[in-house]
Amino acid sequence: MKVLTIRLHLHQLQRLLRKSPLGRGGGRRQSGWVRSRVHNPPQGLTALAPPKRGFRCDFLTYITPRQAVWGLVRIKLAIPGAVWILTIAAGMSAVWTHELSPGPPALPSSVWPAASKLPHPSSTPVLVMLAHPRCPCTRASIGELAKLMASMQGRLSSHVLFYVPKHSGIDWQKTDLWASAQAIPGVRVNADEDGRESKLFRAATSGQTVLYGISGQLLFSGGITKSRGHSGDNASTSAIVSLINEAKPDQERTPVFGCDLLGPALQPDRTRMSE
Amino acid sequence: MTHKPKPGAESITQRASVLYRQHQQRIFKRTDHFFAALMLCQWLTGIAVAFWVSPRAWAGQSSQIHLHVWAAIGLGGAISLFPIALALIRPGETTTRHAIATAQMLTSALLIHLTGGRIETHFHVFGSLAFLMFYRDWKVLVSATVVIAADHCIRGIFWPLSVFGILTASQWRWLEHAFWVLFENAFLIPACWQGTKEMYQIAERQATLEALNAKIEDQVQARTAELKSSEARFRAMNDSSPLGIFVTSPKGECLYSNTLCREIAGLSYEEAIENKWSEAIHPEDRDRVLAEWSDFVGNGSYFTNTYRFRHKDGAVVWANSKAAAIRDASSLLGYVGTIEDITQRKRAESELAAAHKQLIETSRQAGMSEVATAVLHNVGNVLNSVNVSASLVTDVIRKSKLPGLNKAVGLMSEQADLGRFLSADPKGQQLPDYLSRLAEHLSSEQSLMLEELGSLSKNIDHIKDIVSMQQAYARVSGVSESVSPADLVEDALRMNAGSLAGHDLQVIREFGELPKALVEKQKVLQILVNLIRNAKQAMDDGKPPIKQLIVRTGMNGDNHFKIAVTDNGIGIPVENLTRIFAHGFTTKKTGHGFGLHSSALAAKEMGGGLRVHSDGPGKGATFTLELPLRLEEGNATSSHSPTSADSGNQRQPVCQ
Repeated sequence: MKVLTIRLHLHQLQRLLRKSPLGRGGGRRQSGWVRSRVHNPPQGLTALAPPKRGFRCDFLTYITPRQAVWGLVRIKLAIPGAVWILTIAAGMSAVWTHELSPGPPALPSSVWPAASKLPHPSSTPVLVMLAHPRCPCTRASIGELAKLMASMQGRLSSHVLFYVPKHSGIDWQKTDLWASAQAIPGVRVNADEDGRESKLFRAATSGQTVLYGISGQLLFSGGITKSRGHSGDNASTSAIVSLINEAKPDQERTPVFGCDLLGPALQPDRTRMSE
Repeated sequence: MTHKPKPGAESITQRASVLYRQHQQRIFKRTDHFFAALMLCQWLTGIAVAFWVSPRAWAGQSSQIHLHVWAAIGLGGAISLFPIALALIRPGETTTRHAIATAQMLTSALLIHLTGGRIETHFHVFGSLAFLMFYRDWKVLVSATVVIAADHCIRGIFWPLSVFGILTASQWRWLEHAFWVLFENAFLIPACWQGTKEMYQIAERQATLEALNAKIEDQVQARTAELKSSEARFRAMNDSSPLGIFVTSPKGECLYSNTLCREIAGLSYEEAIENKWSEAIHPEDRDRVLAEWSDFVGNGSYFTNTYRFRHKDGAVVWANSKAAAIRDASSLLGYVGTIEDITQRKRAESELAAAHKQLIETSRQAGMSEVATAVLHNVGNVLNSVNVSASLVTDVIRKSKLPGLNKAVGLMSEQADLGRFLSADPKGQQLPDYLSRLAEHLSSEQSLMLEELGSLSKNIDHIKDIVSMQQAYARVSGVSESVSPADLVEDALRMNAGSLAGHDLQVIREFGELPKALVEKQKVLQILVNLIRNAKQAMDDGKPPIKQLIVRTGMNGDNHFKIAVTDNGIGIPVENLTRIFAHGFTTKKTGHGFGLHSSALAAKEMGGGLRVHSDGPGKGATFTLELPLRLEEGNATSSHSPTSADSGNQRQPVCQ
C-alpha cells in the first residue's frame, strides 16, 4: 500500500512540474522576461565564465549589441519608462513652444515720432526699449541691453521706458528691472505713464526695442533675446551692432519675446500702425 | 613563465566575483538613494527658482502665474518622481540608475530653462555627470550623454533657435557644448573603469582574506573542539575522581572544585565559588585548619591536614586534605589540592581501636591463663619429684629403727646395774652390738633422708625458679647465664629423677665437647624438663622392652649447639609432626597441649628452635633443641668459639 501511495505522489509531482511555468516543456508559452529569469543564472556567477563576446559591459561582464537591444526591449519598465519619457517630452514641448512663441511685434513709424518726449537723436543713434517693469521675461532683455551698451562704448544712446499704469502707485514701476536698467551705463530710464510712449512707438510686447539713426530714421525693430526670457547671443543684438558699425545687418526685424506690454485694453491701433 | 593557480584559487575567484557584485550592488543602491534625495531637492529648488525668477506673467496691469511655475511643479515633478520611486522601490536595478541619469539631465535642462538660460546653470550638467560617476558604471554616463544629445537634437529639429541661438558664426556652439560633455566623459568613463577594477581587486583581497580567515577559523574550531573534548574529558575525569580536587589562586581563594570536593564539604557550586569553605569546616577544627592554611599559603609548599566538615544537616565528614603549590619558572600560579573523605576509615579505625583494646584485654587474660598453666604445669612437674622425695623421706622415717633405740634406752633405764646388765645379762650382752647396728642403720637412714631432703630442696628451689621465670616472663625480659649444656641436661634429669626412677629406664648420656654458653637457663631447663618428661611418658605408653632415653649434646653448625632427647617410645605419626608444637595439641589423656607449644616459643625467643623427628608410630622420637652458641668473655678461645659478632651480643639481654 505504501508503495502505491508513493507512486501516486510521484505522479502528482511530475504533473505539477510539467505544468509549471519554470519547466522547459511547460504547458503555456512563457513571457520573455520570465524566460530570461529562468534561464539566466544568478548574477555574479555568470562572471565566472564570461562569454567574452561583444563588448565588455563592466569589469566582469560582456554583452553583445543584440543582447543590449533585447535587454532594453525586455526590461520590465519599458512601458512605464516610455510613458514617462513621452510625458516629459510633451511637457518640454509645451515649455519650449511657449518660450519660442513671440509676442505681437511693434510696428513703429519709420521716423522718430515727433510727439515723443524723448530727445530726438542727434549725435548718436538712439535705442529705445519699451518694457514692462514686472515682466520676468524682460530680465533677459535688460541683460542683453547691458552687454550691448558695454560693447558700444558710447556710440549708442539708450532709453528704457517702463510702463506705468495710469492709476498705479508711485513706485509700481520700481522693480529689480528698473534698478538693473538704471545700473547700465549710458542708459536713461524713464517711466512710461499709461504707455504713452509705447503707443507712440507702437510697441505691444515688453522688451520691444527700436533703433533710430542720427537722422531719426528707423534702423531696427524687434526683441533682443533669442527666446522668451533667455539671455545669450542672438540675431537682434548682432543686427544692432552691425547697424551701429554701419554694416548691413542680417535682419532688421526680429521677433519680440515678452509679456503683453500694455494689456488688452491699451493695445495700439494695429490698423493705423499697419498704415 | 606561467603561474600555477594556488590551491583554492578558483574558489577565491568565485568568492571575489560574488563580493565584487555585492559591493557593486551596495554602491548602486547607495547612489540610487543619494539621487532620490538629490532629485527631490532639485525639484523643490526648481519650484523655488520659478517662484523667484518668474512668478507671474503680466499683461499690462493684470497678471497670472507664470508658465515657469507650472513647469517647475508639473514637469519637474514628472521628471523627478518617477526615478525617485524607482530608487525607493527598485534600488540597485539597472533601469533605476539609467532612469536617474536620464532624469538628472532633464532636470538640468529644466533648471537651465527656469533660470533663463544662465550659463552658470549649465554647470548643473557637468556636476550631474560627476555625480553619476558615483555609480562607477560608465553606461550611466552614456545614457546621460545620450539624453543631452537627444535634447539638443530634438530642439534643433523643432526649435532650432533655442539651440543654435543666432545664425551667425557661433551657430556651432552646441558642438562646443557637446565637446565639453565628451571631454568630461573622457575622464569620467576611464575613472569608472578604474574604479570597478579597484573594486574587484579589493574584492579579490577580501576573498583571499576570507579564505585565510576561514582556514584559520577552521583551525580554531578544530582546536576549540579538541579543547572542548579535552576539557570534557578533564571534567569527566575530575567529576569521576575518587578524590575531591580543588584549585586556588595564589592568595588561596578557591577557583575550581570538582563535584566530589563540594559534596565532601557540603557546599553548593555557588557557595564554593563564593569561598564559603571556611564556614563548612567544623567549628572545633576551623581555627586550626585556617591557621595552618594561612601558613601554607604564605610560606609552605605542601599542605596536609585532617579535619572535619560539618554539613548543613549536621552530618560530620572527616576529610584528609593535601595541597601543593603550582609554579612556573618564575612565579607562583596557585595551589592544587585534594580532599579525601576518610569518614569510613576513621570509623573503621575507631572500631579497630576498640577491637584492639578488647583483644589486648583478651590476650592479657589469655596470657595470664597461659602463664598460670605454664606455672602450674612446670610446678606440677617439680611437685611430682617433691612428692616422691617427701614420700621417700616419710617411708624412711616410718621404717626407721628409731623405736628400737627407744626400746634399748628403756631397757637400759630399767636396769639398776647397767654394767652388770651389759655384762651379765644375755640381753645386755647383745645390747651394745644392737646399738652399734642401730647407729649404723640410723646413720644410713640419715644419709638417705639428707639426700632426699637435698633433692627436695632443689625441687623447691626449682619451683621458686619457675615462679621467678614466670615473673621474668611477666617483665618480658630475661637474663642470660653462662652454663654448660651438660649441666643443664643433668639438672633436668635430676628434676625428673623421681619420675625416672623405678621404671627400668636406661638413661644414656652422649655429651659432646661444648663450652659454657650464654643461655637463659630457666627457659632451657624448662624445655629440657618437658622433653625428658614427654620422653618418659612416650616410653611408658610404648612399652618397649628396654626403655632407653638418650640425651645428646653437640654443635649444630658453627654458631649453634643442640641438645637432642631421643626415646624409643610410642613414636609420632607423620601427620602429627607438623602440628605437634601447636597450642592445645596433645595425644595424652591428661595433657593440656601446652608443654611443647611453650617450649617451642621459648626456643624461638632465645634465637633458636625446637625440631622433632620420628620414623613413625612405635619407632620413638627425637626432639632437638637448637640454640645459638654465645660465649662469655674469656671463654672465646674455645674450639667452638662463636664469631666475634656473636660475642658482641653476649652481654645483651634477650628481649622477648
